[in-house]
Amino acid sequence: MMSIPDYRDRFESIQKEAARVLLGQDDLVLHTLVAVLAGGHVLIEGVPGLGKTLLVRTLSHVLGATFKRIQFTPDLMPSDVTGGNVFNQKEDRFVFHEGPLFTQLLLADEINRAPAKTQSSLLEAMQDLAVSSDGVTRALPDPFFVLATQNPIESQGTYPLPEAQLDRFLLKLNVVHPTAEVEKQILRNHAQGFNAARLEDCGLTRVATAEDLRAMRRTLTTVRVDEGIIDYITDIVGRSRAHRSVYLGASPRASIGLLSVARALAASEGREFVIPDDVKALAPAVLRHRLILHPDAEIEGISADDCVADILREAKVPKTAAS
Amino acid sequence: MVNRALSSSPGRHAVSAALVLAALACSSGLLAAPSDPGPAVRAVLSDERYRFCHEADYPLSADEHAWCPVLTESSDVCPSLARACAAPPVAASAGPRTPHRPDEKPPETKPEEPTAPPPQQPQGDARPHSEPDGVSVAPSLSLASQVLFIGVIVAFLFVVGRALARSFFRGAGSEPLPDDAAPAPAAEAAAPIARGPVETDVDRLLARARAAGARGEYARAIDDAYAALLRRLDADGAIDIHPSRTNGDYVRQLRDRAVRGAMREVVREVEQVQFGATAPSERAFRAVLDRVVPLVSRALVLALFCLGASAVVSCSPLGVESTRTEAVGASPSGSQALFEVLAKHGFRVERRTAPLYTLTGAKTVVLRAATPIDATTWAHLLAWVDTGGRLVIAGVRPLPPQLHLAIGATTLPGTVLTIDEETSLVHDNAELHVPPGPVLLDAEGSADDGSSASRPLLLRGDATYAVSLTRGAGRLVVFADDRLFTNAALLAPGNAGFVVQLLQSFPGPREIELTDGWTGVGASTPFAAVEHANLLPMIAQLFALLSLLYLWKGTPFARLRDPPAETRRAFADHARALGLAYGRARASKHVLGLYASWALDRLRERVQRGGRQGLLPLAEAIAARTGRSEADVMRVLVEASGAREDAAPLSTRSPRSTRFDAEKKPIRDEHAADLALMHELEGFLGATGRRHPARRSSKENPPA
Repeated sequence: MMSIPDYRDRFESIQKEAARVLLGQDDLVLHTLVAVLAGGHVLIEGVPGLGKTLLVRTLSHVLGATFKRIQFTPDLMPSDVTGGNVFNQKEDRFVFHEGPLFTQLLLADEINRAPAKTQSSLLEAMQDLAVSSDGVTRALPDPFFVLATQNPIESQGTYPLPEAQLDRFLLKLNVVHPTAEVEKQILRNHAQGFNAARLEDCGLTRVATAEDLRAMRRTLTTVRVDEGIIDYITDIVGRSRAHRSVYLGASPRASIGLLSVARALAASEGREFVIPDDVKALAPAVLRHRLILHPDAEIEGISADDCVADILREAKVPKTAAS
Repeated sequence: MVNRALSSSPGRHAVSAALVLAALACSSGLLAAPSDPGPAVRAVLSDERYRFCHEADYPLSADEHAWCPVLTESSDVCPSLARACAAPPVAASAGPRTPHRPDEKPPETKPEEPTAPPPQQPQGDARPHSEPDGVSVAPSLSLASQVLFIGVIVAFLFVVGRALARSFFRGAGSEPLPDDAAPAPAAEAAAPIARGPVETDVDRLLARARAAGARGEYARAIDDAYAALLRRLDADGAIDIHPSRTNGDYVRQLRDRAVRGAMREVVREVEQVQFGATAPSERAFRAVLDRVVPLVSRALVLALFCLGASAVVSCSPLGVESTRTEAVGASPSGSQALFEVLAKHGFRVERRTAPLYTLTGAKTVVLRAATPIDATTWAHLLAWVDTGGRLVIAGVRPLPPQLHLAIGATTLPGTVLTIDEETSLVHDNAELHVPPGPVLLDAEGSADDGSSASRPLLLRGDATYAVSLTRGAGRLVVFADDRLFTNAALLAPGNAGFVVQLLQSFPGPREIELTDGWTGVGASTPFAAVEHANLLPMIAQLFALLSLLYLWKGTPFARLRDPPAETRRAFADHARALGLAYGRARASKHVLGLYASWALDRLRERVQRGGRQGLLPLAEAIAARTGRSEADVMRVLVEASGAREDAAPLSTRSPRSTRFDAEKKPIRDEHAADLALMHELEGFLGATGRRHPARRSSKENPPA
C-alpha cells in the first residue's frame, strides 16, 4: 500500500506518459485510468479513427501489464475467448488451452460485432475474474481489466450488448473528435514520423508495474467517504430509477461503481477523502450505459446523458453551506 | 427718436445726480484711485481657453464679428483676433464651438417683443476648467444641498476607508480571534444559534460564524463563513447558488482568476473539514475566515469604489473637455473673462441659475439680454431693489414699465460711448467702445410714479446708452445692450475699467451674480425637469410600453426557476411521435399490417356471419351494410389479410402463408397505397359500428 501523495504522483506520471501519445484526450485517459485503478472495466464508444485502440495499447505500454487483443467478429466463438480443453493424444487426456482472456489488459475491439453468446463469455471473467470450463474454474491474472470498444454508427451486422453485459462495465466513455488545434498537432507528429502501429519507437516508458497497480488499488481503501457522499450517491442512483424518461434505472452495482471511481478520482488529486465533485464528475460515465429509456423518450431523441444531466440537476449536493 | 430724451428733464437729472454722487461717495472704490484692469485683462486673455485670442481660424459669429472694427487696436492683447476677423462670420449653429452656447446672445429681436424663452436643453457644466480664486460659475447650490453633497462624499470616503482598513487588517491576520469575533449579544452567545430559514445576509452570516467560533463550534463557524462568501459572490453575480451545485461548480463559475484562486483555497479548507478526516479546529476556522473576509470585503469595496468613482467622475470637473469651458463663456460673446477680471479685483462672481423670484440679500445682479423675465419676476426684482439690492439690466427686453424706459429698435452706427459729464465716475478714459447697437428711449405715455430717479451714465452720440436709477434703498443701472459684459468688450480700451469701477461703486458686499438664458429654467422637481425637457411624451410612452410588457410577461418577484417538467403527455402526442417514427423508418407496411389485424378482428366482432368462417361471409355482410359490391369489399379484405400476414413475425406465420410469401411479389410498395387501404378499412369500421375514435387523428396525421 502506498500513501495518497505517492498514489497521486504515480497517477500523474502515468497520465503524463500516456498524454505524450494521446493528444487532446486528457479526460478519456483520466477516466480510463480511474476505472482501471478502481478495478473496473471500460466500454469506449466512438466512431472509427479517434484513437480508441491506441489508447488501450498505450496504456498497456505505460502500465507494464500483459496485453492481448481480441477482434470481435460474428463468427467468434466463446472458446475462442476463454480457451478450452483440447485432447492431448500423447498424454491421453484433455489439456486446457488458455484463451486470450488470460491476460492483464484485454482489448475487446468492436465487441458488439460478436453474437450474444460470445459476448456472454466475458460475463464471468469481468465480474468474478475467473473462467469456468468443463467444471473447472480458473482465476484470471491480477490485475485484470477489459477495455472494450464499439462503434455507435454502424448497425448492420452488430449485436447490441445485453443489459447484463453492459452492467459489467464500470464506465462507458464517449470519444469525441479532437479540436482543430489538437488535430493539427496530430498531423505534425505524423509528419515527423510518429507511427501509431509502432509504439515502441515512440520512446514510451513503463512508469508502473502490475505490483504498483495492485498497491494503488489497495490504497483506495484508505480514502474516506463521508456519510453525505453515501447519501449523494444513493440519491443520484435512486433518482435514475424514478426519472420519467427512464424505464429501468441503475442497479446497486452502479452505486458501488460510482463510489469506487469517486475514491480513485479523489486519490488521483491527492485527497484522502471524496467530495461531491468526484461523484458528479463521474456519474455520467457510470450511469449512461445502465439506463434503459422509455420508447417514447427515445423517439423524442432524449439520450441517457440527458437523463443523467437532469438527475444531477435535481440531486442535492450534501453539506452545501448556502442552501 | 434718437435724442437725449432722458436728459430733457433737468429737474429729474438734478435729483438723480445728487443721489448718484451720494451713493458713489459712499463707495470706497470710487474714492480710491482706480486700479488699472489692463494687466488683469492681459493675464486672463492669455489663457489658451480663450481660443478667439489665440487661433487665427476661430469662427466668429455675426454678432461677434461686429466687434472687429472696434478692436483694431487691441491686437497686442489678442494677437489672433485680427486674422479671425478677416474671415467672414459664420452662422450661429455652425462650427465646432456652437453645439451649446448658453452665453451667446440670442438673435436680434424687435424692440418691445418678449424675449424668446431659451431652448429647453440640459444645462452644461457651468464651471470653468480651472477657476481662479473667488470665481464660481457653478450652479448655485443651497446651503443644505452643499452640506448634503459634502456629507455624502465624506460618508463614502469613510465607508471605503473603513472597509479597506478592515480588509487590510483582517487579511493580514493580525487580529486575535476574540477581538476578531464580533461581540455577540449575551442572549445570542448563550443560546445556540438555531438553524431556521436559510440565512442569506452576508454580515449576519459572518457575525454568526464569529460567534460560533468564539463558542468553539468550529464546524458551524466554517460553514457560516463559507456561506457568507457564497452569498457575497452570488449577490455580485459571480456565481449562482443552487442546491445541486458543488463547490467545484462555484469555483469553475468564477471568471476572475484571482478570486477563483482564492476561492479554491477556501474550498479546499472547507472540504477538509466537511468531508475529510480533519476535525474542525480553531486553526481551520481561522484559515477559512482569513481567506473569506478579504474576499467578502473586496467585493464590497469594489462595488463601493465603482459607485463612488462614477459619482465623483460625474460630479467633478475632471475629465471635462476643455471645450466645455467655451460652452460656458470663453467665446467673444461669453462672460468668463469678465468674471475672472472681476475676481482679480476682489469680486465674488457667480452665475445664477436659481429663479430670480427667489432673489434675496444684498448683492449685485447683472441681467444679461437673454434672461427670461416675466412681469411677476420684474415686480419681485424691483421690490428687491427697493430693499437695497443692486440691479444691472443689460439689454433685457422689454423693460418694466415702472422704469419708464425702452430699448430702441434702431441700431445706431456709433461705436464710441462717452461718459456723461455729470457722473462722478473717476475713469482714465472718457470713452468706451462697443459695436453699433440700440440706445435707451423714454417710454412714451408712461406715468411717472416718482419711484425712480434716473440720470444718464453713458451716451452713444447724443443718445443715451446707459442710465442709473435709484429706487428706495437700492440702485438700478440700465444698459441698452449687454455688450459691455462680454469677453470681447475687455479688449476695447476703457471698457473693463468702466465696468469694474461701476461695480465697485455699489455699496455693500462685492458679490455679483450674472444671469443668462438659463437662469430660472431649472426645475424644482424631477417631474418638472422631465416636462421642461419635453421628455414627458416619451416617458409616458415608455411607461405605457413597460406596462404592456408587464401585463404580457409579468414580473418575477423571486429567483427564476425552471418550469415544472411535464410529466404526462397527451395521447395524441404519443400517436404523433409514433407515426413520425414509423414514417422516418419507412415502415408503412408494418403499420398497415398492425392496423389490418386490429381492423379485421373488430369487423369479425361486429358483423353477423351466420357461423361461417373466412373472409367471404365477412365481405357479404360488409357489402350489405355499405352498399358496395362484394368483389370490391373482398378485394380490400384480402389485401388487409395479406398485409397482416406480412407484418406477422416469421415464427407465427402459417406454412402456407410463408410459402405464399416466398412466391408472391410484394402487394404494395407505395405508402400512399398503404394509407388508402387503411382508409378503406376505417370506412368499413365506421359502417359496421361506432366511429373509430382515432379516425380524426389518423386523417390529420397520416402515419407515413
